[in-house]
Amino acid sequence: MNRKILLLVALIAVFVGYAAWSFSSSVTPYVGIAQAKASTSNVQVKGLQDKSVPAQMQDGNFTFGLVDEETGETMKVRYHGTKPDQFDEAHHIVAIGQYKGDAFEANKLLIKCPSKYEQQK
Amino acid sequence: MMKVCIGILTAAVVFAVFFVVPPAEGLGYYVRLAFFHIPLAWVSVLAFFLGAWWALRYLKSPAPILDRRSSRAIALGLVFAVLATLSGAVFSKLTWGAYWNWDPRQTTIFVLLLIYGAYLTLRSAVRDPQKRARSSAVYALFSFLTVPFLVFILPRLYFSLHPSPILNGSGSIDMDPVMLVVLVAALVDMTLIYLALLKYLVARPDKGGYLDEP
Repeated sequence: MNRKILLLVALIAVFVGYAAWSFSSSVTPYVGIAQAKASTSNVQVKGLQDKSVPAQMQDGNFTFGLVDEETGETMKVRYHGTKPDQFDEAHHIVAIGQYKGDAFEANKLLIKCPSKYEQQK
Repeated sequence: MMKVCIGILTAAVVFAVFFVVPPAEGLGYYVRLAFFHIPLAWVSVLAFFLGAWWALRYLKSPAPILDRRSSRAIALGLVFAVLATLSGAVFSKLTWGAYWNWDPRQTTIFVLLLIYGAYLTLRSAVRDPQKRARSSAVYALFSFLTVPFLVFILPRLYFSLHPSPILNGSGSIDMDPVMLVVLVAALVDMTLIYLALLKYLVARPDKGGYLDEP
């Protein structure tokens, strides 16, 4: 009886481990800058704003610098739109699009705000 | 009596959310949504826990009432989970800029909805009441094993646009005192609403009949 239960627990542990392992590769859509540059299809690239590059409107596009939090790699992002409202308060930025030539051509920007639930000053 | 208390508490929470809670830094008045979104998510986890708890009790000593409690707890929990997902999608549209983005948080809640959606399918697929109760109980117990993994562990392992939970990793609470009081009241209120609805569903055999008939 005890051995049966032990076997069952081991089986469940193996199953949970396998499920976690096979599931983890598809759990996040976000990639780093190196992967974004190498990719030939649309990706979601995450990063921080590179404050050393001016963020500005240029020929109807909003351009800014993005820096990879882990590797420190940087790239230019050209967003086909205007500056999002919460851009300046952004904690992280996710740009959706494709790297072409000299810049990442983004169709959409997602903003992560530092939500601290503090009263507005 | 209980109904009156819940009614008063709900009215007080709604009033506080709209007239007392200050605009939050970065979020502005969007923060109001958090006082519905967070309690809905909390009640979902509670519901799936209760479902598993009564399922365990059923497996130890099979009594139809335990199966009724377990199945109602889960079915109602699924409604709250769907509402939490929908309010989350609206929240993410307002703050991140997209309703749905397959963010780790969204992927894991989606998987959780599928798991508990399958519970309803399982119930409707077994004709014999005792077999149905038994297999549903086993399923409810095993599916709850995935809840801590999907809700608490996985989304923290990956970068997510979802803000870290109020109670962050270091155990401190990043919240304005007024907001915290309102949030606690909202959590208590939502829990009471859930328990009252559950009690009603369990007490009325004519309600939720599809859970008992294939």
